[in-house]
Amino acid sequence: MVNVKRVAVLCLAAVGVAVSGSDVLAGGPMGTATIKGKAMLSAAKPSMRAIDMGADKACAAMHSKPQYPQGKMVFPDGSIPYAFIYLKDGVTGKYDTPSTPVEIDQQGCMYRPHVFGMIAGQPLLIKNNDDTAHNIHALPKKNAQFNFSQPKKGLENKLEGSKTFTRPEVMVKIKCDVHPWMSAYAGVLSHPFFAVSGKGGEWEIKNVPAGKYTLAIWHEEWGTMEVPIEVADGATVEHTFTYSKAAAQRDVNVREVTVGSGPIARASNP
Amino acid sequence: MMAGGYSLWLPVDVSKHGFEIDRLIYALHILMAVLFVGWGIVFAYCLVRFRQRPGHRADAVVIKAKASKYAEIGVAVFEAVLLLAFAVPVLARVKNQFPSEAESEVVRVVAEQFAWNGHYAGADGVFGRTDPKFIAPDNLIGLDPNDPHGTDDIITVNELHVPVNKPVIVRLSSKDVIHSFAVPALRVKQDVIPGMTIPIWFEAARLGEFDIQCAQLCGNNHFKMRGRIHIDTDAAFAEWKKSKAPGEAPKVSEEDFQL
Amino acid sequence: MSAATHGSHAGHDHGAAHGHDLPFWRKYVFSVDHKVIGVQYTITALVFLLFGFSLMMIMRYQLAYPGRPLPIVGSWLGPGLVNADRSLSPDGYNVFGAMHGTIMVFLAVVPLVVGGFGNYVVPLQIGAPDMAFPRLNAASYWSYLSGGLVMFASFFMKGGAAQSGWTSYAPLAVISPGQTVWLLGMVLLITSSLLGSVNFIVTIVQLRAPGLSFFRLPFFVWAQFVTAFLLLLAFPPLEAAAILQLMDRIAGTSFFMPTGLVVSGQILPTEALPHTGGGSPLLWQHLFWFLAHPEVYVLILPAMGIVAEVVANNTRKPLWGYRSMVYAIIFLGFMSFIVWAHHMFMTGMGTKLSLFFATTTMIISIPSVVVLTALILSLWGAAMRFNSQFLFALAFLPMFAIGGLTGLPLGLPASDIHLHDTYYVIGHFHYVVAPGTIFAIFAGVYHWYPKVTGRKMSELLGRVHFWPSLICMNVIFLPMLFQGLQGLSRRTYDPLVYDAGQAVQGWHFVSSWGAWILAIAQIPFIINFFWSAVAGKKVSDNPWDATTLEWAAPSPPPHGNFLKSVSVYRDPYVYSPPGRPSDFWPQNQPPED
Repeated sequence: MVNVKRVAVLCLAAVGVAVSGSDVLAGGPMGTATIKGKAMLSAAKPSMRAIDMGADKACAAMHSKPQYPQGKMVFPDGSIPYAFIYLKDGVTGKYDTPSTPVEIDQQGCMYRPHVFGMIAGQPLLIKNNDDTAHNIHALPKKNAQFNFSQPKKGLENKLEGSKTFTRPEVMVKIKCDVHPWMSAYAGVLSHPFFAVSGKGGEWEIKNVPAGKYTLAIWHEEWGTMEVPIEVADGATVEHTFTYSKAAAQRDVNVREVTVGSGPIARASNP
Repeated sequence: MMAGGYSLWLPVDVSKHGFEIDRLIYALHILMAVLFVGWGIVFAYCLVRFRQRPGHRADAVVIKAKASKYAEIGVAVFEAVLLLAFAVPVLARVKNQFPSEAESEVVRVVAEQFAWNGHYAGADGVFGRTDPKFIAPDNLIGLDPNDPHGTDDIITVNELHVPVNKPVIVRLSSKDVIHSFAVPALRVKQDVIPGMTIPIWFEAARLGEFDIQCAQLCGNNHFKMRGRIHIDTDAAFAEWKKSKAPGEAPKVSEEDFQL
Repeated sequence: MSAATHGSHAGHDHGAAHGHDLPFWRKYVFSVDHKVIGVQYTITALVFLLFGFSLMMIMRYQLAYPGRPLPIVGSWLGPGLVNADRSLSPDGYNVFGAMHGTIMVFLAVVPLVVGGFGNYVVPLQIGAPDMAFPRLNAASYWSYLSGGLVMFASFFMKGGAAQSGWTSYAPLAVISPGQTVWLLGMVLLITSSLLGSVNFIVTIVQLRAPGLSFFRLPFFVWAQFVTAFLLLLAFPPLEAAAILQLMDRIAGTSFFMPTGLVVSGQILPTEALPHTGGGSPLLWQHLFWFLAHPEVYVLILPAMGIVAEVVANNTRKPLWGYRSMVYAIIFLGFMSFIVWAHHMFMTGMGTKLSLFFATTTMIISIPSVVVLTALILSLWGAAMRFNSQFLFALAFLPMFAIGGLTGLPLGLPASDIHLHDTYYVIGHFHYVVAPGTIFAIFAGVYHWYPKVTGRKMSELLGRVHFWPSLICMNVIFLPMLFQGLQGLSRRTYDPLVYDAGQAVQGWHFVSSWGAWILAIAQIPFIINFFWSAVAGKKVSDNPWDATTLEWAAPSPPPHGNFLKSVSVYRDPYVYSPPGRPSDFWPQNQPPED
């Protein structure tokens, strides 16, 4: 039943409709309110280059046109996909850990999905659909790290129990060390009230119980924002998050060092 | 099922200095063969001639074997010649006698687990500043977007192009662990040590496309750290550079979006 | 396998430990008798030798058939070591590679040649009742066993066993899982070797029988003496380095971590590694190889010693150039401390330093040539007895020759550019250690087995063991030289990724089958080893008509070793002396006139 729902939602996702976590992950007190809105950028668009996959033919073969970093995508109207919107504070109910896994697929040397939400303890199913080796390296701060390889097409690893992310953490970065441009982000929560922005920057969180919450947004490039929100049964509340340059807090610890270059080994040489 | 491949000797050499390394390897293996066969003959003769048999008793009187002394002196002399006449000159040339940057192609290679990032200075001939805080999927070396020298720089992953018949200087650095930049066809190998920038140079003599291997264990996907180096004609190299030069910021349409 | 079973006793009063009045666990488990400890070392190390060999056999399956699920063992291995389809995973390959190296060097071969043969044979050969410090000796074994168990346990711990190679280069080793336990294991193993080395030096200097001057010592004792100095002087830097690396991992120091690292996209320092920067990865390499090059000679010198004993005994004539051999290994020991950086030619070392280390490396090859030449010339004029130990000792000579000679192209920095870190290196040092040292170990087992058990091993099984082993060793390692010449990097999980790998993939197939058949060829040895202990032919105290002192003791020797104190009257290898009817004249036999 849940599985059917999940497949349906993924199909919707493919045509660009935002995913609401509470639509697929039942198993706790659900409400009837809906929170929805958009993720927008008012600052200048970031400069970007096409991802260079030329060297691994197995990657390049999967794409007919250049691929761009998902985190830097901005639609012409200023809306941004791949933002993770969730209820940060205020959820009181207890929600079951689903036994249905979240799937991450490696396709054309990109992770699908690039940004997703899950409930702590939910199994992770990681698949390699590429004719090349991938390595899946999770870099959590509160959860256990994992770092393993899928050296050929068709391999699947299901991480469950203590192997998956067992503690809430927004966000966990997952990357491939063989194809360093590949990244995915997991929002690990204790409840299903989250969504990922899609086409037009749209997102929607359904089945929210009435109450007061802190609604938060995370985006890999533009950072985090939050807003207090109150919903009543059956109501639909809308909120548009707009990133301006000033609001952006990039999640990097900035240090003045040059990548990989210390002192020149021998002064006499160039 | 079983893949073949029973090569016995060195791979193709497309560099200008490689023949000196190969010559040394030949000379050494001839020395090794001479010594081994020499020992082997004495050894085999003894095994046949000096078996225990009735009426035969070992001869305990110490034999005066001048041959061993000559063999030892011969080995020492031969080794000295190999070292001073063959190994040192090529080493000095490869390691110390760098061509001038003006007449060379200069490339930066930033190694990471598990890829070789190429960095070319672009049309202005100046490398843009890099900083780890700018590292992104489309900017793996952290090129500073605010540095005007960097806007025309070319960044590649696991793919280097170099011109033929022109010295190439490669400045090697690493983001994380020790790697080793090895191009067997060019007879080039240099460990890449994090915290240091180590330059190497070579000049390719033939066109072609060859492997860049990582020769130093660098983690679980060490085996997958394979790049390709393309040796191009001047025209093809210029063409490639032009094709790789960053253009206008791309327009992203909604079709490019896939969740 | 028992040591002290004979009722009669040596006159030496020897601490608290008298053989017959001790309970079983004091006599055979927590014993301080050098013979029991030697046997404990030998058996433990043989088990580790088999274990290390098994790891390699699994790796060889991945190399011969990249990506194919492992038959049988695939379902035994944990999820980190195999992929979802039960083929060996890249992590598993690296774990097995690192642990194969560690186990073979530190848990198998060195403990066999030093802890096993050294402990058992040296006191007997010098006419001593025991080692100088029996309790230190026991401490050395128990420290070794603890280190071994820690290493073994690491396979079952969170994070698994080490996977950064037996060389554990920083920064990789500092950021990789499994390394903390490896370092703890190493500290225990190094401590064990240090305790042992001090004991050997004191024993050889102080406890020689009357008349046993230094130049009457059997060559094996000389080899152990030089080896003990190597261990004593080379291991402390590694012990320090291991502790520094441990501190980098657990105490927030940064001895080996340079500034400016970005690991897996994360800028260091991070929460997991909060204090990195300012360290030097090359410092680790210097400290490591300062140990690990002398370590190579620790692997080979005692093996030369065993071979020299077996050669002298079975050629029935004195060693040719005994003194020059002794001088050669002393010189070798000394030189082995100043060649370490030939492992680091590719680190960007300046040409002056490269030249220095290339020169010392060329120089160190000379004493090896001297020893090898002397051993071959010792065959001249012999009356050879082709028993099992002599076959293994003879095979050692050409195998060690190949191992030594293939070191030359690696020792010259110019040819090393092409060959460094390729399969050529693997072929080279395995020729030294596997058909070299391990064959010497087999020779030693066949040779001294009657001393330990009072029974001989089967000659037939010995031959069935020897010939396939000799062939397989070459089938395994000769192809690696070809693979290296082609430029295939070592530690490559899937060789087919590279052009060089595809050009020599057939050789992987050959090597792998060689390795598996080699495993089958060890079955006769295992049977022989255990079966002969109970059913082997009972022999006299000196079944090989040997001259050195260990054969003057009963087989097996009682606690305290000798029934009456021994004195030495002549050189170690007085075989076939002119004018005497017997073809051997034991060191302890008084002259008639």
